[in-house]
Amino acid sequence: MQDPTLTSLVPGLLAGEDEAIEQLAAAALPRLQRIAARYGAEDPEQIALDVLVRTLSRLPALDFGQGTGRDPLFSYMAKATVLRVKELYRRQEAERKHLERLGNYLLPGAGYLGHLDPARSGRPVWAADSLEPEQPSTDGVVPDLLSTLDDQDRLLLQLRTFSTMTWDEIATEVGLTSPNARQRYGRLVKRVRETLATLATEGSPHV
Amino acid sequence: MSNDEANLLPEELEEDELRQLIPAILPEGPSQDQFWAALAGGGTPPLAPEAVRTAVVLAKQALAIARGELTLGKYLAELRTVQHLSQAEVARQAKIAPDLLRDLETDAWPIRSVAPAKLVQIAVPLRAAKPMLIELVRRAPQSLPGAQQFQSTLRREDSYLDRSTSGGVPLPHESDGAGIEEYVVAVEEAFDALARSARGGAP
Repeated sequence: MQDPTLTSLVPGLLAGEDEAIEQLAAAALPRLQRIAARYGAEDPEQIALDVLVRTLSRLPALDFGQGTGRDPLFSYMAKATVLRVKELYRRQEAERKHLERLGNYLLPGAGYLGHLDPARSGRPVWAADSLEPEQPSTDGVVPDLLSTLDDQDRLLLQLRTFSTMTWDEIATEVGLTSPNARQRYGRLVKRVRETLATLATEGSPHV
Repeated sequence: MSNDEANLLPEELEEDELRQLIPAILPEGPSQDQFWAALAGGGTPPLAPEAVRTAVVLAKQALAIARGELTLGKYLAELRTVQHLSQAEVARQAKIAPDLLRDLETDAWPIRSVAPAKLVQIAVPLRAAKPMLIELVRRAPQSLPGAQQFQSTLRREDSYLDRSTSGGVPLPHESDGAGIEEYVVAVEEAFDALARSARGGAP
């Protein structure tokens, strides 16, 4: 028998039932922590709690009716976890770049002044987010590209590119030996890069 | 260097470039179950009972926020009451005017007019949980009571979440950097700095 999904707990959660809340905490947090860790988070436990609070505090507003997959609530929380990791990482990067610019301003060539407290720089750290422009978006292109890959290749690409899983872990997940997974990934990367280069040249939104 | 790194294929050396080319691609549709299961799996140990208890408390408070029963003011007042502290004592400790604390506890003061450092000087000694504080700050009044936008502020959508790409289920995305989100980030940073210094860590 399959474990109950997180989504199946939603009615109990909305009713404030202790059992549903305890089940959610016990079932969701270890998995969210694992995801955060595999995305390179420094504090996976804190991120999992952030996501728990953020999700539950707006649970009545969420509509999972059109969600795909076996467990839309878990997918939602998993995505929130990844995006929280990225948000914190980007914030750290903005702070680092700010300190680097400040260092170069004060002493040309000095670069990163990691020891300098940004709170004393006269500019709030949170204002540094806009220092660097975002990468040009390829939204729309990548989903199209991924849709051309078979399930195994798609999972291989996603796990290798966007997680910190080892080759052994990835190979187990995609059902290959580690050397075969690496070889397949190498060919896949080459193919994806060629496709993206073609798209960049032609500007076509479709593969 | 690990064996993993030592045996990279030439193509893999350009992985960083690939990461730059492809922004956060999050799976949708039938592939997402497999993707998330793979990421979350691998012999995850169960949580310690203490961690579960902490999470359950936070979960109950988050659901109270969802029901509109818990506000920033009520949260601060509850924390203060649990510690048997008067408003005057907390105000003195945080070096703020008692009137400001009173207005905060009755949700009668626009939150963004309170310096983030001052807010965390109230919240951290009261042992506020950061996720709760952050979520409540997002929903706190941004204007004086009676102003037209007061209710809409309380009911506004969380900019962290977006319905555009999820087929009806709002997705979290990076903060838009505007208004309250900038303030939220400042509060979070101030909270971390004060908590670190309270633990005796480096500034």
